[in-house]
Amino acid sequence: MNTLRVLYHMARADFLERVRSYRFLVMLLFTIFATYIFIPAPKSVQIAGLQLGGYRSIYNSAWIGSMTTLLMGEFFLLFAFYLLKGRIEQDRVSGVGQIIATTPITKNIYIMGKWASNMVVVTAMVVVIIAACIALQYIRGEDYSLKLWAITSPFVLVLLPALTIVAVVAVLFDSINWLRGALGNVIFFFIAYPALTLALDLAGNNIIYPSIYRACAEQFFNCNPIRQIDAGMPPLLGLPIFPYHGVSWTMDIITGRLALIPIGILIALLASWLFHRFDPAESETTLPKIFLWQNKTTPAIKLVTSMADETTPVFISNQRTLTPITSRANSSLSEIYWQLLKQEIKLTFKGVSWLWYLIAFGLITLSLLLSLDSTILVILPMGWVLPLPLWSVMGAREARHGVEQIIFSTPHHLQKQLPIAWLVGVLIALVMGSGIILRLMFAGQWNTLLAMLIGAMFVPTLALAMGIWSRGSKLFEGTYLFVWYLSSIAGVQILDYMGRLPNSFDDGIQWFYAGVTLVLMMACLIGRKRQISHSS
Amino acid sequence: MKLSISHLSKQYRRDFWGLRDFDLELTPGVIGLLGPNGAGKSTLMRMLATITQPTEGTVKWNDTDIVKSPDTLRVVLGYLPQDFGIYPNLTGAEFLEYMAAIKGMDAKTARRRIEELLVVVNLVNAAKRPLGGYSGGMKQRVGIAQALLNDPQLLIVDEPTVGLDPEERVRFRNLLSDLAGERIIILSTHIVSDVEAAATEIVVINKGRKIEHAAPEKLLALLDGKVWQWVIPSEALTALKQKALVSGTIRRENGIQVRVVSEARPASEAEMVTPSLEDVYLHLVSGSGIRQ
Repeated sequence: MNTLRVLYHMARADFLERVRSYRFLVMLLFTIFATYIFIPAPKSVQIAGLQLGGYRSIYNSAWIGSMTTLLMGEFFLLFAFYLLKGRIEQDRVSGVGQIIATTPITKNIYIMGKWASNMVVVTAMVVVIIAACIALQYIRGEDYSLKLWAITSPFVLVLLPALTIVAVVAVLFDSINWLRGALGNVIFFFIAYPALTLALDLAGNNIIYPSIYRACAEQFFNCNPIRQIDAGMPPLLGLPIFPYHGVSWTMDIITGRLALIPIGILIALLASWLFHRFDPAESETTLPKIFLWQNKTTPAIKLVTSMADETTPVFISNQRTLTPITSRANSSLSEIYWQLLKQEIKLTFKGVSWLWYLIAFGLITLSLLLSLDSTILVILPMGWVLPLPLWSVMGAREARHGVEQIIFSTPHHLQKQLPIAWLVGVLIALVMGSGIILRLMFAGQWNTLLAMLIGAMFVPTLALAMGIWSRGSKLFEGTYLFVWYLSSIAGVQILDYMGRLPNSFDDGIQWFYAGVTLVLMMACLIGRKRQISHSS
Repeated sequence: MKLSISHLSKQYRRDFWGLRDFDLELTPGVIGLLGPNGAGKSTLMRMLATITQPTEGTVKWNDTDIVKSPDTLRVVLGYLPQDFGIYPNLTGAEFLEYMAAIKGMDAKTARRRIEELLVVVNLVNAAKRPLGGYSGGMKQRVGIAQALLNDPQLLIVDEPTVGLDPEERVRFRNLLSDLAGERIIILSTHIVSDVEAAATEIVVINKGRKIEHAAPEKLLALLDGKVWQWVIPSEALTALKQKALVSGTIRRENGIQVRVVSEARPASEAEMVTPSLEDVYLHLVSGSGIRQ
């Protein structure tokens, strides 16, 4: 009973702390917006939708529930991981962890509590998604008879169990020192998530899609037998319609989904075993330092001891006096900017491992050696995902390290530090693409070069804007990895911000990103201005 | 050089004002801002440091409104917030170099100031170690150094001695006294001894309002002949606290020696003693005046 009470209070406090944040509201709005996109008006282009081979069902409760669950399974699970991750780190950074560590709470209960609070958060979000689906059924107005079970059951029986796994994996990644940062985010995206999806069918493709395919195939011959999600598809209007009545929930399906819960418990026990209970002496990663991105911590105990040894006498007889600054206008503007640029570069690259430089150097070298086409198709995406940890802290660094008040009370921040921070981000993109830029210049491929340069400005501007508005790095990490995947691997043209695909330039994709970059720049300025006057 | 604060107010919620109708005119010197926790000191500091917008009122630096033109003040401002962080991967020296660049200082001046400041805040030996490994007191000293980087004309330090050991506290107080001259230093704290040692003027603030502004000697004069000291039995202390403002107690062999602020002699054996700033502060923030 006492354990349940502890769990309840941990989950409650954690939940309240999160839902009362501005960031949660942004995430919630983002989720509602995603739901809106997944259920487009029949006349509108489908930004992302099921590719059934040119057929559709009408927007009834069963179709909206099943189709949205499949799309959410593809996108929301990833999004949820980035949303949920970082709660243990938050306790560590805020110092609450040190207090918790001195209480009788066991590691198992603490980890279970974090898992439970994650579940409460995602359940609240799923409820919002369901509410948005119901609203959209009426807004789209193709079928006004609301069937509550048909619309909610796919979310409850497919999405929520999948989120159980994502929620506990987020806790597991938080429990392991070297998986806490950007490296963990990348590993989840490229390794853990695909592995979990394949092994456990998290998205429920094999449960929901067969029912959709059967319904389609009963009416038409060439329905797509494989669940395929495409981006930028033509409007639904005019497509042949098949009737869809939802999934038949058998006991096998339900027990299969419920089996995810014991798997989650096993993952939670693993997390508990690996969790160091906020012991500073255990904060050092067990991985070799070459794998570290940032966030190196030094054990406090060691430091205090070493400091005591090195403390010099407090009152020095010939204490150095401070030389007054007599003129405040003796440095030129160019020197001020140059100093600032040097310091921002130093700050950005501080703590980056030699392995990162080695890979970066390797990619730039390869971009000079391989054929231009394969360089653009393969090396450019790799070169523009490697600096993810460097870009993701842009705009969020001040909040993350609690230096906002100090930094924002300095003069001309908006005119100096902000543009220089942005410039460093752009320079990183340009350096990573330097080999390709040279090749494009020599080859006279000015259109591709222009598109790439716009992309080099777009990525850091997106990072800066998201960092400023979310005060964290996860929003950018999640969004960028997702956009990068759709652009580089899936080849979605509208997301070709690098200008890699053959028809992108002719279709004016680069001008779209030029416009988005300008809007994001405005968002950076407005967001930072707002931060400066509200940094207390 | 002057800082003029007029009718300054900050409303946080509809029914809660962090600061209300605050007026103050400051000229060079060390101004001690005293008040209990939650009195509005940090709210005032943040508004003066241009990072919080006032709800009402104005703050003028040499007749320039800093709400409209914050950069006019920021160029000559040094600010040490009550709570602040650092970049853990940078060393102490690198963090100061970064801050110097952000403050628009040229490289040569920055190098000289950093070298001098590291000596002044006693961090020369730790300057090349990552900040992530600094103790609380060392971080506080880095904060003090960054505030002094640009030789500020207005130095605002909010609870600067928190986390410092007694020796470093004395060192910092001396530093503030040395720095006083052609600059305004605002020292906010609830530690009376810090203000006593350094301040040329004292402002007492409580519940968002200014309740006194005077030189320390004038504040002390308020209680001339009104502070008493004598020894009482331990069991009589609770009763005494209910009827008089007890500003201090020390345990003695024969009971408890108490200090009491009172217009009249509170007991036949009570001796009149010289008032301390702590007596004055407790008397002012108790809000009840001198009890008889």
